[in-house]
Amino acid sequence: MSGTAPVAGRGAQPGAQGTVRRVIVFLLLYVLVDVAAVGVSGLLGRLLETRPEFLDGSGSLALSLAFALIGLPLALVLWWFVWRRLDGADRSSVAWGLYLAAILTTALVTFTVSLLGMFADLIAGTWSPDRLATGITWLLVWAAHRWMWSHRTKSPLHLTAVPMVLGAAYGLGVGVSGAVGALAVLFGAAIMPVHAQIGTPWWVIALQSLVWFVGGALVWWWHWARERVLRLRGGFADVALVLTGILAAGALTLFGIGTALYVGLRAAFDRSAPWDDLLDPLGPALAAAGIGAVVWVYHRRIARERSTATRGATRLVEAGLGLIGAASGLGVVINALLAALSAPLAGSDARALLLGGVAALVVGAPVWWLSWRPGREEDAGAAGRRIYLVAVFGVSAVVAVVALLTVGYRIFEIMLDTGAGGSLIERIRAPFGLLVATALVAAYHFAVWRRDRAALIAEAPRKTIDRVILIAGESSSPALEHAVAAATGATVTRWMRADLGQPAAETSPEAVATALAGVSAHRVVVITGPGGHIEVIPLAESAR
Amino acid sequence: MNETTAGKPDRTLIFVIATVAALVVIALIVVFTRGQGEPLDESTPAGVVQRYTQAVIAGDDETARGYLSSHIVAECTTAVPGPFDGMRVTLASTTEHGESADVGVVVSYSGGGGLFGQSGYQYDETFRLVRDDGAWRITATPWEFAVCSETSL
Repeated sequence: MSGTAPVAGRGAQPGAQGTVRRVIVFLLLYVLVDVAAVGVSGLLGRLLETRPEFLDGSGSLALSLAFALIGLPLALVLWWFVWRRLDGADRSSVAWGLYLAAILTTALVTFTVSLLGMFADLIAGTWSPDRLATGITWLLVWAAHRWMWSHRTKSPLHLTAVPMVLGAAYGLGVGVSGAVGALAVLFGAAIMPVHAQIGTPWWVIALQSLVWFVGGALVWWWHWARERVLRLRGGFADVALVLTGILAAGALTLFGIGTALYVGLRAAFDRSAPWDDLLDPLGPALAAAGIGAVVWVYHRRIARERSTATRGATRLVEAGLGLIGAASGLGVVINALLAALSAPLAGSDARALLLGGVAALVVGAPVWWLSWRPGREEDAGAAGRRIYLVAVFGVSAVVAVVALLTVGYRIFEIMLDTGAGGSLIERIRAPFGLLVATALVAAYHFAVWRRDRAALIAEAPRKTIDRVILIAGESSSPALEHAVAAATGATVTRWMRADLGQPAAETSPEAVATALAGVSAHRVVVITGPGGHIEVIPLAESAR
Repeated sequence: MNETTAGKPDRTLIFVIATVAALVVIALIVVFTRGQGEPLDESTPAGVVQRYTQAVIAGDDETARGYLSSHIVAECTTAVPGPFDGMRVTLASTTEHGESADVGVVVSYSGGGGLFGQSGYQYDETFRLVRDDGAWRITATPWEFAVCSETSL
């Protein structure tokens, strides 16, 4: 399903003109399909609605008729026009792949939300024919485009994996939120005192969440296993894997564990709140921790089988999550320390605040330590690690500056007596906590970045050539270019010879690298030719 | 402790860990050993506001009404104050104008927990008081502290 070279065919138009035509045509088709689907689902909803009192007025009927009777024929005509041309440049265009990705994702989200919402309504005793109509219509739209996506001769050649990867990520999100919702209600019913459970019976809400879980899991399984997203490697598939299976699932897990720990610490050390209030977040926290951990562990196992870059990204994302938790926790601990220094008129003391900070710190710090593994410098030169260090340093520096500005504003506000009286400490405790935490984060990551950089410079071979002009035959020149760049660190400009005719005997990259050893000049010309001929010509400084 | 590839200890990391550990230990000691502050003088506007807010947060509306102006109590339409979960009230300012006074407070809320510690926000509010039979009594409160809807600002 990977991209292949564009195929020239009938209907091919020169450059920009063809691109603009395709963008406009597919955009128009997307809009017309949406309009037609809205119109048809509106009419179908009226057909399924058996209760006259629930029917909208004739205004909405007129709109549905207009959308269906004008939008649908236009969409079909335009589709037929597009479909007939899909054997040349149109098929290999990015616009075709983008259109299918957009409409497949739109249709998937719309029909699943509508149908699952209808089933959830049925459990609560409500019949929603409009949702059924929308679901059926968009299911047909999805099925038709799924057929086009897999067509033997007209399926897109670019962005083929995008709709399936997005579908898997969407299904995972819906399934996880449904499972967390169902378990949260179940745990809540088990934990909370009976007198605190009022309103809709817990099992109704749990069953409704279960519907979303089953629907989401089916969508995920369809894309992940049946459409073989699991087997995709690299690019967007790996990015989605890290973002959903590692980042989102990790954040959900740590959030759940942190909240559960916070409730436990408050139950042990701060009993100022009634049990109902204290235990209220425990059910959702346990559900989030449990479901998040299952998803996280599963995707970690998958990521371990992927490329080195993906494995590195997984580790760095986990380190980032732990770092955010630990830094936020430290900020809150400092906030609580300062709050304890000023006695309040009334209300809670700083214990709950402190325990919240300690819970975040205790959860975040070990995750950061185990993922980052301080002192590990084998991958000091890896691009991912460099980007991570710069990003963490940059973001924490920005947050620190904003916190510093807030502290400064509060200080000047009190100094200038603008009417904001009271304790300075009370007013600056939150931004000051954030300032200290982010300053420590920025300082550590800046030090690591500097150390990595110094190590890289020390290990890098001494550069004796700034620029190489490589003149070689067409077949061998890419390999030679890489060899020259790796051996010298110089910028390489590649010129291809037109006088060699048929491919001659390849010049070995190793031989070129050897020929450049010991050469020292600002610019060097390297000429390779038949029979392994290599000529290295250092240019004089005056040649600049 | 951690060492870099050059064999030198990572002094920055040691400093960060030591700072974090020290801050956590100090915070635990201070928060858990510091008692409640001294109650303010009941004859001052701030003292009245302190007792009133403590009573409202404790759910003791009857005691709270005792700190309201007599004409407010006479016309009182019961209101439900709150929410108070995670709320903290600190004194910002007291301004007396002869027979009336304004007491400014900072109201802070914190809540949540989880991965990002606690979220929170704060804002300024004012209580208005008058002298009523020689004692300071409240005539207007922020809406979240109103036990009689007539006092709600």
